[in-house]
Amino acid sequence: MEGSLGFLFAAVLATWLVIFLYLLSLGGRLAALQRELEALRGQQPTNDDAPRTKDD
Amino acid sequence: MKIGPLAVATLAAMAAALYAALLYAPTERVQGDVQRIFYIHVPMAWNAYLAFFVVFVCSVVYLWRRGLWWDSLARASAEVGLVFTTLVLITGSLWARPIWGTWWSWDARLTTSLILWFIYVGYLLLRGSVADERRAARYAAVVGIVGFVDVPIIHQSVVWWRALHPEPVVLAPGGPAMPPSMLLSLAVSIVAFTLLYVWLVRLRLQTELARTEIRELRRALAEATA
Repeated sequence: MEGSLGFLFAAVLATWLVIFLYLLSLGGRLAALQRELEALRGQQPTNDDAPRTKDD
Repeated sequence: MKIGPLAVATLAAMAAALYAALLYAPTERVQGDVQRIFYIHVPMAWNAYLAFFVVFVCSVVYLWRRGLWWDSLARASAEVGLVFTTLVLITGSLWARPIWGTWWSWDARLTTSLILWFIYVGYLLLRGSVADERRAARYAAVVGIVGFVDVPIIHQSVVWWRALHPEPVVLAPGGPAMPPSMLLSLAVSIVAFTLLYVWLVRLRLQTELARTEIRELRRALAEATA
């Protein structure tokens, strides 16, 4: 089958490209969410922020 | 994104699969090198079926137990399954052009595969369009269960209807209809793509769980400041 090597090359390239781009997008999404999570954890009230009582 | 043992195993298996498909497997006598697309196309179709089976199981468990973790896993698997189905359609077309002389045919296998792609695009769109998290999960679970009916139909389509698509060669009634070296190459590719599926679902699930935690933290912060 002449010229079929080009179709094989295109199939391999398309597969790796789509998987690579999906991985990149997943990595980007995960990193952004983790940053947001860290920021929100930092805003969480801690025991030090709690109002002082008579016993303190 | 951390490169853990699963990522290393996946990348090593993918390299082995590439070697098996492009160099180790013998060239098919009639189709030539384009037949090697089979070692990408079939493992991805197998993993798309696996992905939607996971969606089906998680949807059933979600409707039964109402645990959001199951819904998150279903969503992660549906997205990865959709990526795999897209690649099944692309690689199938790239094989069909030199072999059939056309990029697409409304053959039973191709049409039911395209329907599967639309079902899971609909599944993900539905999730995004319903604001209430629990309601979205419930609707998606119903689509995840009903949509899976298409998978056995796709598998049997070449048997039930006269189709252009080749009949099963591995699960053929008289055993695998291919030489051992081709079978081994296919097995290596299936293992590699299955590891890839697990890795991608794991990553996607982490984003889903992080999103859930963010939602809960925001709720807690809003309550604390109210």
